[in-house]
Amino acid sequence: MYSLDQLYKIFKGTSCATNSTSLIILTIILAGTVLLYKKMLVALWPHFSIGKKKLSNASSTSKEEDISGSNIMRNRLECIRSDTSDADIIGNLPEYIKKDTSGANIICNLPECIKHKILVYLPINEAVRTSILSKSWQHIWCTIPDLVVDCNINRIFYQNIGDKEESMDEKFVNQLFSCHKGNLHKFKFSGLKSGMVDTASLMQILSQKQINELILEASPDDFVLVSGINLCLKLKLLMLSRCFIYLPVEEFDGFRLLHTVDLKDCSFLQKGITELVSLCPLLEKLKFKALSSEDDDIQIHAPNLRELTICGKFAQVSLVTPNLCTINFVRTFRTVGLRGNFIRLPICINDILCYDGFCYFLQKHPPTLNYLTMMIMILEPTEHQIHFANLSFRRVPMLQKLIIYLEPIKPLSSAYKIQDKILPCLREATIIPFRNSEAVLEFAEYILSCSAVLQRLTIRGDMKDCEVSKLNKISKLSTKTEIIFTIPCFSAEGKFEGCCCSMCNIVAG
Amino acid sequence: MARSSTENMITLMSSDGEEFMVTEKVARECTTIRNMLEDDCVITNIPLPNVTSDILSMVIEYCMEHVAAAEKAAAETAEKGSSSAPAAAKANKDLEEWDKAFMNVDVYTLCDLILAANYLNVSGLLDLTIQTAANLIKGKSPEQIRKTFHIQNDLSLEEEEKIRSQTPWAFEKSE
Repeated sequence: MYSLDQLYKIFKGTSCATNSTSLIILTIILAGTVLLYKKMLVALWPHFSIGKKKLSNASSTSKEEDISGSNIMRNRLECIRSDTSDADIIGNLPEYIKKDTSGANIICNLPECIKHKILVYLPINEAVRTSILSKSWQHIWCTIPDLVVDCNINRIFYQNIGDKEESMDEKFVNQLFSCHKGNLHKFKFSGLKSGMVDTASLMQILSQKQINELILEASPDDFVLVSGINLCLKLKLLMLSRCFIYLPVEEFDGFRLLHTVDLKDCSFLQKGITELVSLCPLLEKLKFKALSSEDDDIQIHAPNLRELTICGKFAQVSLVTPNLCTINFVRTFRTVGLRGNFIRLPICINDILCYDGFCYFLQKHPPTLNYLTMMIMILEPTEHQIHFANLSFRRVPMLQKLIIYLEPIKPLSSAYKIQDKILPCLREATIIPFRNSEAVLEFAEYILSCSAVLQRLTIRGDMKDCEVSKLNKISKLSTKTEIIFTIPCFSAEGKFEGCCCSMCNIVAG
Repeated sequence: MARSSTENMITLMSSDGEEFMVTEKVARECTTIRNMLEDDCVITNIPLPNVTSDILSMVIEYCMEHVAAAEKAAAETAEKGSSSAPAAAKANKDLEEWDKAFMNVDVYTLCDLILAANYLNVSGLLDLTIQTAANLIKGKSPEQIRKTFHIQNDLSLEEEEKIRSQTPWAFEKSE
C-alpha cells in the first residue's frame, strides 16, 4: 500500500502540471502496472475516463477514442460499482478534474423541478438549509411545491425550548411561510400538538397558496382543533388524523374540487360527516373513522362516490351513492355492538361489484343487487333473521362467494325448509360459527339445498364425527360440491378476538 | 426464450451515435419511448440526442432488470395460482438490493442518470436516483454538501448571515 500511495501522489503531481499528452503516457505506464496495482487502478478509473473523454473531444482521430467505446465504458462503470468507497473517490478527485467540471457544477445544472424533487425527500430543516449552499440554491426551497413538516422527526421544533415551546413553534411556521413563495400543491404536517399552531391563520396562508392536498396528523398523544378548512377552496385531497374539526356550514359554497377525504379518529364539533359530504360534489373516496361512538344517523349523499370505508358505531348509515363500487365497514367487536348497526342501501344501487364488509339486511324490502359477487354477513338463526336472509339471497342473483358468521341462539329448523334455487351462481360458501353453534348443520343443509353450482363449502368449526357423517349424507343440489372442515383459529385471549383474526384472514385471502 | 426472437426489437441511438438493440418491452419502461411507440407503432429506430451511450447503457440495464423481475413474479403467480407472500417479499428485497448496488456511482454519473431518467420518464429510476441524491445531502453540513457536489459558495458572509437569521431553526443543532 506504501508504493500505491506514492504512485498516486506522483500521478497527482504530474497531472496537474502536464498537458493531455503526458496523461496518455501516464495511462500507458499505469496500464503496464495493472497486475501489480490492480486495486489502485480500480480507484483511479473514473479519473482516466474523464481524461479520455476530454481527449476524444479534442481530437477525434486520437487512438484514445478506440478504447473509450462502450465496452470500456461498461468496464469503468462496473469498476466504480465494485468499489464501495465511492464517496472517497469524489472527495479525493485531483484538482484539475475539479476545475474541469466546476464550470459544469453538475448538480446545480439540474432543472429546478428536479432540485425540488430532491428537496422533497429531505426533512424540512435540511431542505431549508440548502439555501446557504450558494446563490443558485438560495431560493430553490422557497418555491418547493410540496412541504412536509414532521415534528416527530424534527424534534428541534419544540423539544428544547421547554415552557416557551408554543410561541417558538408559531414563530417557526411564520418564518417558514414568510420565506416560501408561490403556490403550494401539498402541505403535510405530522406530529402536530394542540396550541402549537393557530390552524385558522395557517389555513388563511394555505388558501392564499391555493393548496391542493392537505394532510394534518396530530401527535399520537394529542388532539388538535382544526378550523378554517373551509377557506381552502382548491382542496382536492384532505387527510386529517386525531383532529376536532370545526366546519361552519353557513355561507360556504363547498369544496368544489375535493375528491378524497380520509378522516382518522376525527370528530366534528358542530356539523357532522353528513354535512361535509354534502359540501363535496366530486367526492370519490371517503374514509371515516369516528373518534367516539356516535349514535347518530349518517347520510352519505355523494353522486360520484366510488369507495367508502366507515369505522365506528352509527345508528344507521344511509347511502345515496349511485356510483359506489366498494364499501368497507370495518368494526371492532370490542367497541361496537353487533346489533343496532345496519345500513340502508337505496333501491337505486345496483352496481356494487364487491360488497366487502359486514351487513345486515334487516329491513323489510332489501334492494336487488344485480352485480354483487361477494357478500359477508352475520346472522342469528332466529326465525326473523332467517326470513330476511332468504329475502336477501333472492336479491343477489349473481352472488358467487358467501361468508356467513353464525351467532348461536337456538337451533331452528322450520325456517330452512325453502327448497329453491335461490343462489344460482354461488360457487364458494364459508360458514363460521362464533361458538359451536348447533345451527351450523342445519344452515349448511340450507345452503347445499339451494345452490345449484356450489363447488366448495367450508365450515370453520369443531364438528363432531357424527355431525360430519350426517352432513355428508345431506342431499345436495349441486353434484360437484366438496365440503371442507377446518378448525377455527380462536386465540387464547378471547373468542371474539379469535374470530376477528380469522375474519381478517378471509378478507385478505 | 423462444419468445424473445419473435418480440419486436427497438434500436435506441445515443447522442454519440451508439446503437442499442432492446426488446420493445424493455423500451416501453421509458414512458417517453412508450408514448412514441403508441403514436407511431412502426417506428424501430429512436434517436435520443440527450443521452450519452454510457448513461443509456445504464438506463437499459435498469429497465431490463426490472422487466425481468416483473416477468418472474408474473410467471410464479401463474404457476402457483396465487403469489405467496414470502416469495414476493424476497423478490422485492432482491430487487431493492440490486437497485442499491446499481446506485453505487459517482455524483456525475448520478446527475446524468437523473437527467436521463427525467428525459426518458422512467419513474422508478427517477425516484431511485433522486432518493440517492437526497441521501447524499441528508445529515450533512453545508460544507460537506458543497464538497460532495462541488458547489462553489458564492455567498458573502453577510448574505449567509441574513439567510440564517430568516430561518434560524433550520440551522440549529447540527452545526
